[in-house]
Amino acid sequence: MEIQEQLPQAPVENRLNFKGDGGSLFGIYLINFLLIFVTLGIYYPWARARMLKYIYGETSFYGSRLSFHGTGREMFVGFIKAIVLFGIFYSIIIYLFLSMSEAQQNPDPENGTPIWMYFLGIYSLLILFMATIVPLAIHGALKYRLAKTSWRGIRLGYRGDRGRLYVIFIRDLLLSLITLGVYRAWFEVNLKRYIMSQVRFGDVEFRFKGDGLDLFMIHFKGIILSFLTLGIYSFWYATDIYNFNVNNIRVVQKDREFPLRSTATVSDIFELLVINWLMVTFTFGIATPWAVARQLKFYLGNALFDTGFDPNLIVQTEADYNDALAEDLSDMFDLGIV
Amino acid sequence: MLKASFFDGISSQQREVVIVFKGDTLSFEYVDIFGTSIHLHWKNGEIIHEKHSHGTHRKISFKSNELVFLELYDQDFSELDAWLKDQEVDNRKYALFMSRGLLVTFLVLILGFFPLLYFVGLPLMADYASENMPVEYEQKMGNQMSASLLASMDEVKVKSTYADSFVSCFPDKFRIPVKIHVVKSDILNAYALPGGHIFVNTRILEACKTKEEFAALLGHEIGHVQLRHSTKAIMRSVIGNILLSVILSDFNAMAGVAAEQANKLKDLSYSRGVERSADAYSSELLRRSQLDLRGLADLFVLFEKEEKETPVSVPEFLSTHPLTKERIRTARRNATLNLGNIRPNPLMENYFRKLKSEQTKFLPGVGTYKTF
Repeated sequence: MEIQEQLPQAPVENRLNFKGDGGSLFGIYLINFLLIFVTLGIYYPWARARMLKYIYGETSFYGSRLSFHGTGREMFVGFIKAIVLFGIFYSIIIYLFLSMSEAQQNPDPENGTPIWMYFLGIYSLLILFMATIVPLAIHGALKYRLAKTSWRGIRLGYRGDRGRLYVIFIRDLLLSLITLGVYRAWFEVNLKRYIMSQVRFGDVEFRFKGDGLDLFMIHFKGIILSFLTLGIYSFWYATDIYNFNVNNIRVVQKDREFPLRSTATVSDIFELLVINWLMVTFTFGIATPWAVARQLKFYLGNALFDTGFDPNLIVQTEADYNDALAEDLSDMFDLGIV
Repeated sequence: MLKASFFDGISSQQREVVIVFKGDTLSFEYVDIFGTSIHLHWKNGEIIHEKHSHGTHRKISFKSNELVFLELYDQDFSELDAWLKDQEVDNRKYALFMSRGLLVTFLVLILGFFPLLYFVGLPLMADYASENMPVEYEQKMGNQMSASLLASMDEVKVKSTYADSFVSCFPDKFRIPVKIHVVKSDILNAYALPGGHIFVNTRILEACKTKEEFAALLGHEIGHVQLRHSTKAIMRSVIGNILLSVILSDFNAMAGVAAEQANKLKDLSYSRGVERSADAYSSELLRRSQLDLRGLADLFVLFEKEEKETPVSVPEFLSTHPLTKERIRTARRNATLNLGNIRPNPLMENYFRKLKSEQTKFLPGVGTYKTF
């Protein structure tokens, strides 16, 4: 045993390897929940920072851990701004709903606003809110989160332009609305393509080579077959989506492009989803942290970096950035940016 | 001596170094990109030490630039732990005491603050909000709530009209105008919504044998309206719900809060104090109307009797109105004091007869209404 441990030949860790365990996550969840409760929610940003610090610190890549440098204090300011923004939005929506129900009860056919006007108002307000806040949230969250992430002392970063993101987002949102959702696949791909091209990892860059039509076919096939097979095909569907997202990423280092390669199989995804579901259901949610740990391990760990990629050659290029408004905005939308 | 990987914050190049501890300083040596050998000495106070994976993986970073750090793994860390502990020993006890003391103070403050806010601050906020709410707004809220309640109920409109006329016989001009809704129900109950809407179940109307009893009942509910009891209760519930959803960060729930309220109204419960002040309002109103105050006492007796006879259909009124011997005694005492102040009121009597009369079932607009 002693001799084996001293052998330096560890396998190359060419993927993000989550080494955390459900027990530790459970402890963090529990303490966070209690503190959020007794502080009437004010602790939330600190809870988030704590959770991210743990997850990043337990994620290993070529033998070194990731680091999250954000603090609760930075995110607190963003948290307050996000609450105010959402507060205003919800007040308007609630006000419209109340006036609508009043108009319904006391219809005034001559001077009153017709009901469909209220529906139109609420609907367009929702879309307007989506179109203005979501790009802001994506942009800000990426900028803050990546600037606060480092590996071997090398910062990640997001160099995207907010205006450009707005143009892509609003253009594709409109196209998706007009085509009744058919364009959604292209929307997703265009957004990923732009965002990915603006991500930096020191002097390493990324590209997304996915094609809208391919994604559309995956969605199309997935939805139809899942429906026909009463949901059984959804495991193949989920695998296709994961593989599409991973296999289309290119890592660019010193003018050389390396692909990421997904190792996820249908049986892996089946096992992950079914066991997680059983765990969470039969413990009435108590096992959620263990399920989250399994999920992180799976989603991070199944994207292999090419052997041509050299983890020792990355050079620092990105500056620090402290505005955390969108970190919390994106959280409220549940955008799921890891 | 410990083995570590050093990262200089400029490139990702991994440099194997050996750490030596001496006094309060940790030292190591590395070769930079120009081939120069560099010695670094970090004092204990200048570093941040982090443990990962249950302490099997360590990170020692330089405080003023976290991107410059040492990474240590898979070895015996007892030397490092001893060094860290050794350096801390002077201020450790004090720090521990301070941190524990601070934590306890903080927890006590928070734990005290939370119930204080919920049980004292919340009612105060709600009362302030309802007292300063314009009557028009209260009426608007009441109109909506009563409309949504009435949608699922069978209102006897003719009786409601007579009941309104009955109310107009009171000499008072009410600050918040009152509108009575007589609704079909076998439950012995009457309740007040904000903004002057009072719901009277047919069952309770049937149970009232004299106009004084009915006047006492309405007086009690009008008391709830004028003293804004239901508005206060709703405000408490709304503010409580909003507070809870903020705590639980459940932003979607906030939208639902407002809508939920209307249905809960029937089950609103008031404290004894609130009931007593509504009783007092009722007997004052009866006194000013020169009616026999025994009506209120009779009403209470009626409920008491109903409870004994048919325990199944009554409890709703009873559960929200704590009927006590004391309440009956107070009503009787007030009635005795008022005996010299009674004048007949034929108009009120007339409306009460009409309310009780079976004729209403033949009037248009009453539909299939049939007396009990």
